[in-house]
Amino acid sequence: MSIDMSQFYQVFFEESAEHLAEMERLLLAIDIGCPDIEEMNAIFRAAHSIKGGSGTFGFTDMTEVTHVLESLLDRLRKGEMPLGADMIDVFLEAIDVLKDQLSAHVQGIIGETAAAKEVCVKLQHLALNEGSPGTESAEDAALPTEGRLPPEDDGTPVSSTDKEGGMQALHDYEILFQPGKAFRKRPGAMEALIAELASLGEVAFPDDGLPEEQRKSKKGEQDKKRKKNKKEGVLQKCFQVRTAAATEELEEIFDLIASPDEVTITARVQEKDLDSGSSGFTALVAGSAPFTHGSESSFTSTAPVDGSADYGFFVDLPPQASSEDGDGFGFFEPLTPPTESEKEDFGFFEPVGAERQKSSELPPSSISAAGSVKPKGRAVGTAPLGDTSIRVSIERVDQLINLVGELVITQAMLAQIANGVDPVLHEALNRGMAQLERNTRDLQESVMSIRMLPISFVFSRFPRVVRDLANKLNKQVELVTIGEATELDKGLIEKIADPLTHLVRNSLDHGIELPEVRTATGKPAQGTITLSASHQGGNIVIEVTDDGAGLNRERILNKAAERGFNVSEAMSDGDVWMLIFEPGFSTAEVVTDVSGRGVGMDVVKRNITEMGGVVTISSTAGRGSTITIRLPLTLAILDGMSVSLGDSLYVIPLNMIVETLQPRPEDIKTVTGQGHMVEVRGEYLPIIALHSVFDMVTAVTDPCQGVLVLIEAEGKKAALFVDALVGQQQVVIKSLETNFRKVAGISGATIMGDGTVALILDVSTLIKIGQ
Amino acid sequence: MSGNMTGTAERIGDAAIGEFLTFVLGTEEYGIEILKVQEIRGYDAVTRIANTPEFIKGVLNLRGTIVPIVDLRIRFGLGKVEYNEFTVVIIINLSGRTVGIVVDGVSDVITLLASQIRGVPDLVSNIDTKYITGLGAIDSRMLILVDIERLMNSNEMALIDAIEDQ
Repeated sequence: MSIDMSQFYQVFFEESAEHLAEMERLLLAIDIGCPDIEEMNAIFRAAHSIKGGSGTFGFTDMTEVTHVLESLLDRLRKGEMPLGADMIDVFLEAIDVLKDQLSAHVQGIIGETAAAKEVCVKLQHLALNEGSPGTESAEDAALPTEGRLPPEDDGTPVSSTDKEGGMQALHDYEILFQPGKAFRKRPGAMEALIAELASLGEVAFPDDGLPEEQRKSKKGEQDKKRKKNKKEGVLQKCFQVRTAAATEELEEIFDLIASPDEVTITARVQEKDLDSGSSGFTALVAGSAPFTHGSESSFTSTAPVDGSADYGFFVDLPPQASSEDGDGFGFFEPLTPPTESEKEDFGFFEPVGAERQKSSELPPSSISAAGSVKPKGRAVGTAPLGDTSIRVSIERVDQLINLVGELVITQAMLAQIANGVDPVLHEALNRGMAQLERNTRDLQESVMSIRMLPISFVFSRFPRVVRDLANKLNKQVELVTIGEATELDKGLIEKIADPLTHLVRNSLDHGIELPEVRTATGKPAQGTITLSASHQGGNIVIEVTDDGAGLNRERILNKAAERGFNVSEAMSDGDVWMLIFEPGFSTAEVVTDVSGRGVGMDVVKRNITEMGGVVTISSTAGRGSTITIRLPLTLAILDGMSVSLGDSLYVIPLNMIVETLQPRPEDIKTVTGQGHMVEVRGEYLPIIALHSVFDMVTAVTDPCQGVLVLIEAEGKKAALFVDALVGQQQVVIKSLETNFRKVAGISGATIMGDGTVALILDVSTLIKIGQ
Repeated sequence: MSGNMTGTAERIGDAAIGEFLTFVLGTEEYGIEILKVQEIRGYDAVTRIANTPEFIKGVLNLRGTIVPIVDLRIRFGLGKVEYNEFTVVIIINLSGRTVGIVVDGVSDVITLLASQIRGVPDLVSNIDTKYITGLGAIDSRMLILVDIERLMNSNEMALIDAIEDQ
């Protein structure tokens, strides 16, 4: 191939990963008893797109698996065989295999094939067993049962005979080959070529090697070219090949022996009605490939609506959301428009997802999805959804964010200077400055929002996790997700996934009881795990709630004592629960591969703390427990209160501040003449004098002269004694560790309006230091 | 080739081993590889960081980057420690990390030839001799060539997290 295919690999990898995720989501949501035709179509399209793409790029291992999968899906969606729960399992298995293969290709290695073979066999087994409960053999089943879904193929020129036969889709290709001189001179070259072609499938030589069109006296470019060639005495060969191989494989054979303009490969059979599913990649290639793909082949069927499956970034609209443009699907009209009752069939978490995608996920996508609805039937052209999103590397976005951060600082600096001028004389300047401030803030917000993604990116993996684990543990669990539209920083999304998975698995393993136990205690046999996300102030709050047994105080305390932790009966529940986050702590009686090795919960807590988050647990015996994670909205910007100490400024994260107060002398208490405390509404809080922690010289040494900032972190409160409050402002967090090292009590630095550096206090460390 | 006829003395070891930025600490002259130097600037107000050695003056905003500033005069007990408009900060770039060093003054950029490099005798000094790559002899002047990267990354500079801590 004369063009470098590898430049498109990344697109294929990304899109395939999205297709796989989409398939998984749809498979999990599907109602086995009464599968929705649109959903089946969507799954089929995703499989088909992966097959097309992998074929194009020569990832044959993936092509093989998707091919078998697709064949089975095709029959399912046409109602030729009933959907069974076991099928879903095998499909999911196949998706896992594909994911492995995909990641192997991403890393440029050839994955192991045993799993792929196994899953192919399983799929074929299903096709044979289930496909013919009555009369049809597997081969017969390939013929569509027209009677069952009459409107399905209505109005589409797809002929029913070109559905794939059995497990192998055979295509007829016509190859026109004018060997160059070098080829002709080589003895046995033609024989070798034929043998090569024969290895792919049947090879036939039509009469006198004339292409079929010419025998039919069709006029065409090939025809003219051929005639011209004949006059010039050029040798020309025509093969007809019937094979399951893709055009690309044929092209590969010729690649080695001939230049592209010497070969014309024509697919004689329209590959599939939904070939457009793969046009996202193939169109790219076909556009520049020197090989002439058959003009009557796939591209005429490019359906813009299917394009939604291609431009991966936006997840396919779920059927409910896209029901209004159902017409656009032309080929597969649902038997009946989706009704309310059908919607209820998608499982409890689906409607939320649909709502999310409709309302908040990415409005432009839904708008243009609606806008792309074409009249029923055929529309030729590229998918119009293409320009609704672009892929940009995260480095570029970060660079943009950094630059905007600089701009904000410069703006603040200018504002400070402008404050010093006479407002009467420089009214225009002040107006301009106000305008500049608004614009910079807007700019900053929009730029920051680029990095924001809905948390559904994380939540979407959990239906699968819960399903698999529940099956393994013989538990019945329902997963409810709330607030999937909640947006948070991409960096956080990536980092929260693992801890959250661990928490969900933990809830399922330890929290939810076995069905028998649940029924015995009067609970429904099916347990519920609720994942919720919401904004609370400057935080994202993610909660994992289960209605299981709850934490067992006695057992945790015993275990902790056994492990040599410093515990007592007098500890508050909250403190006891936090013990499960200690390294080496596990109350599971049996160590399973799910959980119980006591590694994990401590890692969860560490990860969350690293993100600047806080994790807390509440639990009621017999009623279940809730693990709450609070995360900052973004890693880059912080709402802070600046305080002064001596001649330097410090910033305290606003979300850690409970209140600020100036104590009266009688509020200050001491223990043994030292250990200062302040009484705030009946509560005694330790006073941490920042100047002594940081060993700074300041004129203010009496708490009554300064300000006490009540800070709270990890469930502990303290009063931080500083000289004065300066003001509240948003600051851009800069790492101190880029060029320096970690400093106890300092979490980072920021640049103030005048260009000087202020340090951001690490509240939780300060509270620890203060103890 | 053009230097072929310039005399016998330069023919032996006349290969240049590199350019050095020379600076003064007290009465001594030091040299660091010019390629490690990012820029030279005046001394600005720095933000002091608590619980750090005295020679770490604090951090500075260098066009949006937080850069720690080390005063080598304090670190090696040389020169008069005062900060005024003539105080010079050399911003050096050490494999991705940026650090500023305060010195008494920057003198010159000098190309040293291999023949001008002398070995380092064993001696007791504030700088561990392992951070001195050689001594440059220019007429009667002696240039102390410092491996600034190793020096700044050493534990005794307290600029990076000590490996034992992790």
